[in-house]
Amino acid sequence: MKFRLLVGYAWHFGVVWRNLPYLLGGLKLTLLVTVISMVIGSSLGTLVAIMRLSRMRAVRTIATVYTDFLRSLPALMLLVWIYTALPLVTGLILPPFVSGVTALSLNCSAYIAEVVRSGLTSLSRGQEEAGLALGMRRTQVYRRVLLPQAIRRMIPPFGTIWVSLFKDTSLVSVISVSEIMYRTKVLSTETFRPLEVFTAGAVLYFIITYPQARLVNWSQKKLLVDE
Amino acid sequence: MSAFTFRQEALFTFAGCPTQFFELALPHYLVWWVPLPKGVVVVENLIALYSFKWGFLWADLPFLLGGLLESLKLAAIGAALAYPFALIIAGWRMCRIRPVQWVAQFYIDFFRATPFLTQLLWMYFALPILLGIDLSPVVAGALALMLNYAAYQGEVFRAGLESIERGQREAARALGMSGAQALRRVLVPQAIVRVLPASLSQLTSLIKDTSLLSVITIAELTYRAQAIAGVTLRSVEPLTAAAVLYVIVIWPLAAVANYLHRRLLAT
Repeated sequence: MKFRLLVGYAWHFGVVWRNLPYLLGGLKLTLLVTVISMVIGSSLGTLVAIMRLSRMRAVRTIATVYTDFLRSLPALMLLVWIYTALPLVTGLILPPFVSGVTALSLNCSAYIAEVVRSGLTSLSRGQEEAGLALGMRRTQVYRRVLLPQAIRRMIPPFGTIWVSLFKDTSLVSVISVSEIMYRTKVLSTETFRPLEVFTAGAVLYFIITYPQARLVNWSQKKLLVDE
Repeated sequence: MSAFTFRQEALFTFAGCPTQFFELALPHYLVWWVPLPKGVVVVENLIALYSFKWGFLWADLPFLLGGLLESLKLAAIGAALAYPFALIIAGWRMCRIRPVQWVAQFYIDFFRATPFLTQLLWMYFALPILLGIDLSPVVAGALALMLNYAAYQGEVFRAGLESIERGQREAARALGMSGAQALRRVLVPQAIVRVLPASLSQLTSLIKDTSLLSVITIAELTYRAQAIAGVTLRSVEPLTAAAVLYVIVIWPLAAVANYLHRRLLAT
């Protein structure tokens, strides 16, 4: 397809249509990175959140420092550090995919820790006290009473973090993981048509992310909790 | 050949006193007498794995600090451009003319749904072709920062203005103020307080995203850290130092944003 723009540039979107399978194939790794990072980040983040609410001051401080540190560090900096510096410090050489997932999980876990913590503290103290009064241990109180209620309130922020994580997977293209952004870059150099290819990449991200964002907004309205 | 035992050498390099690049201020016999607890045997083995030669870092620290300054400069330029544009976008978003609202909504949705890296690369590689002029990395980077953050900040402004109850605006109009006067004298002063915490957290996000400008070969902190790592082939010291510098700058900002959030918006 050729269109003529005012400045006389001939658009050649045919390049995009021909290579669309290659571009869409990047979605596989994008989703894989997002899902795995979300799972690891959620587990780690929940753990850190519970640590943050501990009675022991030392445990609380460690959790606070962890969260604040990882939220103050740019994700790209963390990614580059894990990919280039970590092998030198610990002798552990992580391949690009693994270091990308590690960096994103760590980054994500800090935000999830905040979400889980505020979700748990938003419950009235009466719930925890009632559980303890019934003779449950603290772990039982969390598992049976607090977390089930808190999860309902945490779903919209989780959704926001998911969408954010999905966009942050574009960072691992710097580590040459073959997801959408990496394939866009490769394609633009192969076809010598950066305008069409980068526009297509942006539109692709938009088409995939916008419905997710709308879904998160909808869930926010549906799950609005009235106290 | 070093005049110190392995244990002393390890202690110096780990503790950050570079022996190869500077005169040691502390006499070596004093250090020798520092009691090392038994458990540190394991620590010594870890040190042997990688000895941080901080001496490399002291020589390059001004270069890295210049990179931090460059990052902050870019963040300042991006913020300075983004805030006015965000006000415009918020205004369009709340305009009563439907098409204007749609345009603003589409702009916000598009720039919030696409990754910043995608937008940045588009501004640097695709936009020059579209416009027919060459964009320097700094211009492309600043433009990307401006457009991306105007979308988020526009939403923040809109939420802040809309959170003020209608009664305020109606009362102002009832007192005979025009729309603009109502905005200036009644709504905006109240909105500033509500908008401040979220704006500050957006600012910290902006500063964090300047690290992405390293992909566009702008010589900011991440780029310079990687450059030092490439030249000296020791990636740990510059990258760790760059990470610490980022945290030193951003952590206080985030802490202030949290504090403001609790103080100003606790209902």
